[in-house]
Amino acid sequence: MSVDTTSRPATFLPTRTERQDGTHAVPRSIGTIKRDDVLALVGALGAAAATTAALVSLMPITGPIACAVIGYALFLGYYAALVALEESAQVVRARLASAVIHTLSLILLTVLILVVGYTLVRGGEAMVHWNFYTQDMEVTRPTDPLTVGGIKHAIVGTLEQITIALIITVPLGVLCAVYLNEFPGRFARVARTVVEAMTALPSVIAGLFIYAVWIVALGHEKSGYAAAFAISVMMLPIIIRAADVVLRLVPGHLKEASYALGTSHWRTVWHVVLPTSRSGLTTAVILGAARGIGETSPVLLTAGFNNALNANPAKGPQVSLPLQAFSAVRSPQEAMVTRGFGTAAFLLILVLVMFVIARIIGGRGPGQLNARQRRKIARDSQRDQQRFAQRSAQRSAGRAVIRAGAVLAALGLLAGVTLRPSQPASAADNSYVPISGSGSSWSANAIKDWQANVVKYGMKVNYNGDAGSSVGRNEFKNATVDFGVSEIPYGLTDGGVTDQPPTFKYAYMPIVAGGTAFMYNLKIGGKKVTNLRLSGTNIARIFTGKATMWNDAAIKKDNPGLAMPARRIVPVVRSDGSGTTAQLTTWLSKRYQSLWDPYCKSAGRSTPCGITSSYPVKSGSGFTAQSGSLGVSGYVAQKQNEGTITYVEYSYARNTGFPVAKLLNKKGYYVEPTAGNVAVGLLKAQINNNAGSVNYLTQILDGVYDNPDARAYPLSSYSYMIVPLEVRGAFSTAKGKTLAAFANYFLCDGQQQADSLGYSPLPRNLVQAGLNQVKRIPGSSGTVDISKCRNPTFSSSSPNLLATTAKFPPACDKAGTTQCTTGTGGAQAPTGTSSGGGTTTGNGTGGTGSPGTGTPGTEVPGAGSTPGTIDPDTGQPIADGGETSSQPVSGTAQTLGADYSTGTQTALMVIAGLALLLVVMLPPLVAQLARRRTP
Amino acid sequence: MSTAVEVPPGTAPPARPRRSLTSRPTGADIVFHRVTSTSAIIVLGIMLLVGSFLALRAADALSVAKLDFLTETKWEPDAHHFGIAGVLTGTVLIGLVAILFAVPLATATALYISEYAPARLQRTFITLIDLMAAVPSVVYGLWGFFFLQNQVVPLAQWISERFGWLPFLGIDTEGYVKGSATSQNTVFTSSTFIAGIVVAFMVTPIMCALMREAFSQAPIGEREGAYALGSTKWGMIRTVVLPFGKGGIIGGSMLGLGRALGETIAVYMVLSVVPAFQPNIFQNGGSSVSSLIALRYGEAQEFSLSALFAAGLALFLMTMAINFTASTIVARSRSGAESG
Repeated sequence: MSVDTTSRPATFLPTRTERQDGTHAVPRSIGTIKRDDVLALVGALGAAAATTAALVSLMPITGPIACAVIGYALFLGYYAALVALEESAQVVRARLASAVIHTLSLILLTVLILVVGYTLVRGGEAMVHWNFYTQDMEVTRPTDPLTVGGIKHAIVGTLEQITIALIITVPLGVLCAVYLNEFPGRFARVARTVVEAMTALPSVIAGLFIYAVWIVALGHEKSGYAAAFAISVMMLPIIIRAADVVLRLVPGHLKEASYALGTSHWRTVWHVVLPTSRSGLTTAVILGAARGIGETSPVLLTAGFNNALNANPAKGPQVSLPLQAFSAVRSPQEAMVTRGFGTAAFLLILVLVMFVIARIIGGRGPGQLNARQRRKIARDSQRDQQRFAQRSAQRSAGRAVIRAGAVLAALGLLAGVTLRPSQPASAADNSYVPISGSGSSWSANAIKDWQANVVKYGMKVNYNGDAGSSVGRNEFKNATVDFGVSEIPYGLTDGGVTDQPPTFKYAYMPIVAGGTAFMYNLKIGGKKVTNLRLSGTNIARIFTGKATMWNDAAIKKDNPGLAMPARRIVPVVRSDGSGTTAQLTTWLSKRYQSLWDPYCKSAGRSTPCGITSSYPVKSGSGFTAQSGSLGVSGYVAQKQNEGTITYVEYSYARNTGFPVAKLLNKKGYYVEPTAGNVAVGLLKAQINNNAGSVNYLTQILDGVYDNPDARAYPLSSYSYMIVPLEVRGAFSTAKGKTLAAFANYFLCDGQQQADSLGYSPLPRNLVQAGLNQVKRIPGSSGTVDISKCRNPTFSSSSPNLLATTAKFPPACDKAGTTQCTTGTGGAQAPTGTSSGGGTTTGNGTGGTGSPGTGTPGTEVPGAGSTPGTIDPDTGQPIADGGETSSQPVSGTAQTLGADYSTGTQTALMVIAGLALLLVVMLPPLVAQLARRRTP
Repeated sequence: MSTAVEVPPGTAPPARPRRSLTSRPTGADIVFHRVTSTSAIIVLGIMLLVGSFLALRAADALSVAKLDFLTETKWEPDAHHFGIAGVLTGTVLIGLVAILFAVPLATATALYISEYAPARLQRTFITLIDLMAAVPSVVYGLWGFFFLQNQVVPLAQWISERFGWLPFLGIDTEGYVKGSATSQNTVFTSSTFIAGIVVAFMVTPIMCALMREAFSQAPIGEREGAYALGSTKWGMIRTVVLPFGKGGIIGGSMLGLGRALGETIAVYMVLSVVPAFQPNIFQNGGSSVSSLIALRYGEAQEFSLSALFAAGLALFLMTMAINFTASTIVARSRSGAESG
């Protein structure tokens, strides 16, 4: 890379000559810039700007990019014309080429600044808090403010993983590169070709390889080691190739000089080749490490996910920085997105620092020395001359490389050591070992809350709730996790294939009830709709592509109080295998076979189309697929994604501050999946009571769909944890003990929070049955007195108090000509049924954690897709994306550009960008100055 | 160049046989040879293991899908209906969009650095471009999803509505009304186009580095010659630098394409993954092999996992072929430049 770059057209000026009269001859400037050129440029710019401004005001041109494109085209035209006035066609072409080249380079530079700047600006909010670096996310809930919680666990994970990867790859890689250079031959040629081929290996395949071999085939957990191995597979060819190139550049005469002195082969390598290429090798290693740190995809498949500190790379999932950033920004909560950006910014700074270090070390080519080094060598050789016989300490070759590794290792160790003290303390109090599980995102909000609650008992539960039920069942079956969570049991046939149950003993245990809700983002006249009602048929029509517009006649009939807009319906479905999808498709296939089957068939599935975990999507049907409940709810919650509707558990709508559609039940009432309505609905659930069956306690929901109670929510269901009943693989009785204690907690006391989280508590009979299942887990100890559980469904008088006391829906919720105006889900603000101009009150109360009195109309909406920006200085919400509808918006045509082009935020961004230009330019300049000292 | 000592032919007296230069290696040399060759064998072993494992697992799926694997657009491995026609099209489209943006950017920047930039700033710009290559992909993904997408949507709509009759540029979303600003976000977001642009910025620095290196090797004699003949700077570039750097441009672009095809996380963040044939680049939804793997690996059963391996193998073979071609072209152009 560091080849001679200064080979520019070297036209030298003649040295100044004295004139006869003693004055200096003024040499003719051979520079190409004349005053006319500058004028032409400025003139063309001005004319283009003016014409563009005129055009924009005359024509409907949307977006800054379109303006820029038009303006630029005009500029080129004017510039060519102006230059052509007095120059030849050749010069005109040269000028135009020069202008285009300058512009394109400028664009690239701008992109770099934007990428770095945007990340730092958005992440800065989180990064200014010290706790961001010293805490993990174990007890922090996604809605908590930025003053709690941090990414310590991810920092530790990244440092440990890269250290392990370096320990594997550096010796192996450098030795291999030495072999390739020192022992050329057929084998070396083959090896070099293979290494070169492997640099083309997409990093995700490196991850897939480790996943298939280490995790699936060998039955290890997802862990820091697995991640480090995946990074190693990816890094190894990169390091070898870079080292190979560096070693090849070692001047042959140095080696020959060494041989001429009678030095043996290995001494030549050790004392000549490696020291000569030291800086290059170090650079290769550091750049390889930077690549390894920044790569997400191998880690995505192998590291697993945890939000508590796990300093042990051998056991349990260990998240790293890029993965943490990746998963945090998928959350709909603004605080989590900011944390994600903070994580990315931290990662970026880490990589940039490594990069600058590499530049400073490796700026020189092999054998190139700076003045200090040269003086030192001179000194050394003089000394050597004097005491040639007794040469002592040698500058060892790999020392720099080893040193770099040692620094990282020390960092990793340091991180490990500093964190140690807290661990034995907690380990002394109790003897719970950490457990991990993955699966359903439907019930993830409840499990995450429980897992944060049991931290105080010393339990560490890692739950990857972003995975989806299909992943949970699969990972449980492969014994890579200790428990799985799923809405549907094993053994169901999906797309003609039966999901085979695990070969070891396992049991289902209901954990919580809830309603699959239909969260939507819809505005009428700029005002957010919060009271949408839909019949089951209309839901089925929407999700089978039969109803495509919100003003569809049948949907209008459901909503007599709303003037439904002529806007396209965008159904948002899950792209991953999901229990929520399975719940929805079970209902669709059982109740709306006539709609479901043709749709399924048209999407290429074989009919009859029953239950399926992965939603069939027809290309071009206007559906959008996103992965995970966070993915779909986050997509709907984006302010600009109007017209979207998705299916998620009720809690997601509550958490994101969005409404859910009230669903028509058998009795003719539109109901919301509140805890009470779900409890009522599930009174008709048919539970497998045969304790001998493998599917003991699983649900059949046909009765729920048709529950004749006026309060019943038809899409209510239970979620299940799948627990192992025998010790196998990584699952031990010690883990069983933690799992049992955790299960006892959430089955008993955990249920009282269900309602506030957006779920519904389990009734007594299921809690009892669940507790009995817990006893079967190996290592389970202690019993729970069920009468002491603070479960709102328990009562001596009724089997389910919650269901008995659930409120009946008001008359306005009955199908007919009236429609309640009250809000739903996370958006409790009522929707006026008559056309009103922006009079609705501010924020809802829906658990977003940042209820603030938005100041409608005065503040500028935040950065487009991300609702609810918090001003770092005042702590006040700058703009509440969830509820920005409270501002009067006239007309529906809104351009995205408007969100950006206005207000002080943009100005701030520009200033920050300029400041950043400095920040970005500074390190290379410093590095360059450091190097410049070399004559 | 690493041969130790070369005796120039003909210098030795013809009568005497040449003295053999082989020396008996010392014990330490033998150990040195053993250690380095062992590590080379280990590396080779790991690489071959990855490759053969990939091929072996892929074979399970390929033996079921047979030739349908190349033509089938659906991805339902459990139902034995799967093929890469859909996802590979998506991958290639992303790659093409990426190089469509990246090649002009990279070429212009490389020309700027090697020909236009003041000599003092050259190294700074080179460092900046290398720095851009070091930015982690997840950062590009974040930026693409949260920032770039909103800027590009109006442009995508504008192009699509005017040139929608061209292949790949149309929109076939049901219920989409042309010119409606109201639904643009859900129609034009998360598209192949946006993912391609994000990837373009990721691969531009790599391309740029290679091109700049090739340009800077254009021989000084020809450059001066062009100027001496009265050529403008652009004339010189067109007649000297570009022809000499042609190998660098082609090789660099292909290397960039190889990287673009394999990129996972940035694509996964931006794109709404629909594993089907979706040729409209501006339309919401698309697919790529790597994002398909990232999406489906977890829930994949034994057989579907091998289907993913088959897709991964196809991708790997493609990137490998591209990389090899690219490095051959670059190597050839280098030797050509040196001799010229």
